[in-house]
Amino acid sequence: MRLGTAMLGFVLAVMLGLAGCQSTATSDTVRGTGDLGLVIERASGSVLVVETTGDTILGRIEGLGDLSHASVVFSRDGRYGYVFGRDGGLTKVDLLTQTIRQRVIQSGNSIGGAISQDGRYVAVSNYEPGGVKVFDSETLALVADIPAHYRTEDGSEARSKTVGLVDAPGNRFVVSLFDANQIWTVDMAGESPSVTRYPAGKAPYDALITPDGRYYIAGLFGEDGLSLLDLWQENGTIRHILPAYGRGEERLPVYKMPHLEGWAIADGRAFVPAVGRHEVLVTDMADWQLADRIAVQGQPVFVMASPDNRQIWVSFAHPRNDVIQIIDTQTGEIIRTLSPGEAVLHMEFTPRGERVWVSARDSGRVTVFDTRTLAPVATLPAQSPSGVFFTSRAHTLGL
Amino acid sequence: MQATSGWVCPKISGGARFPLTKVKVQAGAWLHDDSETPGDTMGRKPFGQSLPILAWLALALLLVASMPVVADSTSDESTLRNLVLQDCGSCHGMTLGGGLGPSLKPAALQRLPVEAIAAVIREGVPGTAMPPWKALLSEPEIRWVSERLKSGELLAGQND
Repeated sequence: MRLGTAMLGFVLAVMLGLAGCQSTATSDTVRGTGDLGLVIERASGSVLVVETTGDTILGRIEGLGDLSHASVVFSRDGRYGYVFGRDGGLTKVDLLTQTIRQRVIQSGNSIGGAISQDGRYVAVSNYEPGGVKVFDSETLALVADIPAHYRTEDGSEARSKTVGLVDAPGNRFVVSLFDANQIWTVDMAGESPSVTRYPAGKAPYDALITPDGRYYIAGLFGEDGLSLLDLWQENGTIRHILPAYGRGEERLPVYKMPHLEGWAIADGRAFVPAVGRHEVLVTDMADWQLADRIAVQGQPVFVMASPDNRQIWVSFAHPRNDVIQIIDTQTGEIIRTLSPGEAVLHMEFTPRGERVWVSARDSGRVTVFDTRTLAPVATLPAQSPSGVFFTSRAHTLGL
Repeated sequence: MQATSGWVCPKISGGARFPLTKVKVQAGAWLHDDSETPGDTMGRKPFGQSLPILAWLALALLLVASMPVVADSTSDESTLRNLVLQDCGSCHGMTLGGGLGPSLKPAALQRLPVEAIAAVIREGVPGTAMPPWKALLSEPEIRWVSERLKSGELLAGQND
């Protein structure tokens, strides 16, 4: 009888145990990450975990430091976001548990980063001290420290601020040196990182890589034009493209630096923001000549193509930053001007492009637009929201 | 591969193929220059390069005296504070500790009088990414911001 009771107790315990296990693994509690994303709340050092199926906020993760100009890359499994803060903080957040997994202060001042093609390395672009640091994506342990040394004209050695850091095929990183007028490739395939240096145009301020990983293009602040590096050429050289897009014209004040992110391209033509001019430049990718200049209402900051490349969405610098303009890539015409709120800072398309999320910092909200009707379909409250980043970036070169 | 100690001195290759001596670089000279050959600034330095910063500041100070004071201050203080921390912060960092632009913390501004700070805000710094703000801010607003950058008042309450 005592044995029977003990058995019963054992069976009950096992059943309860199983039930306990099951409760953490039912279809209700297990979920994928393909429709998740992070919204930076720049003033409060927090990020929102969001999902794009129902357009809702799942939670908030706090304690990430100075998030002005923060950006995110994702682990290849789409579970972790690596948040690059302004204050040199690199924070690995878990989108599923909505917690900070690891956090390191890796420099005094940083501007963004990238994850390697194989997902093993996270690289950070630093202003102070200028250079690139590479971390193990699993542990955030330092793997490589690459100071951006260069020689100034008077012969002294200095360190450059680095910008426009992206991943490239062959497990490489590519980065631009703002003060040194150079572009460097960092090859992570060997025993130690191998750096190749190329002379570029004046003051590269940001850069992008085409989705095929072939062209790295840096926008220039110090002169008109962009520097283009063809990564398919073994002994590549930098080409200076669109060298005189504003020849003879007075530059307008730039109250916010444009950003080059993603690749706005349609019918073999690429769309990029002009610097100091209220224009979107269109270049023919066959010969990299200027094909068109589209007048817009302010200094463009983000010029982003919808995933189907039918529309180009343009955001603007202060003070004309309360609207978005949408360009039809077939006609080059502005088809709509939207007013999503005060201080519009960023846009992010859902992976297949049926929606776009637009952050309005000073209105404290993120507005979700339908890209077909161009009508708002949801509004989410957020504290000074800036960047919006979806996990689909995990599977896109250069993002 | 070492995960903790790491590679600290990476191998630099390609320097021979693309000799860096061909890259003309001046300290802080990422300036707009219309010369046909990039990097060739011989003989025609842009304004901001040829003028020492102090001389430029002095010039800006002279401009201060001749500027009419615009009384119409339309922004209230919280709007201005937001502008400094958010919009100035996009280059100088939200805690004003620096970014693409330099630090604007009181320690960094120690050697600049309020008038000089105001002059930089008003006129910008030619040849750098700092634009002139006079088209967007009134004189009292520029003054208000300059005084509070100098005192650090705008950073009060920030745990930095």
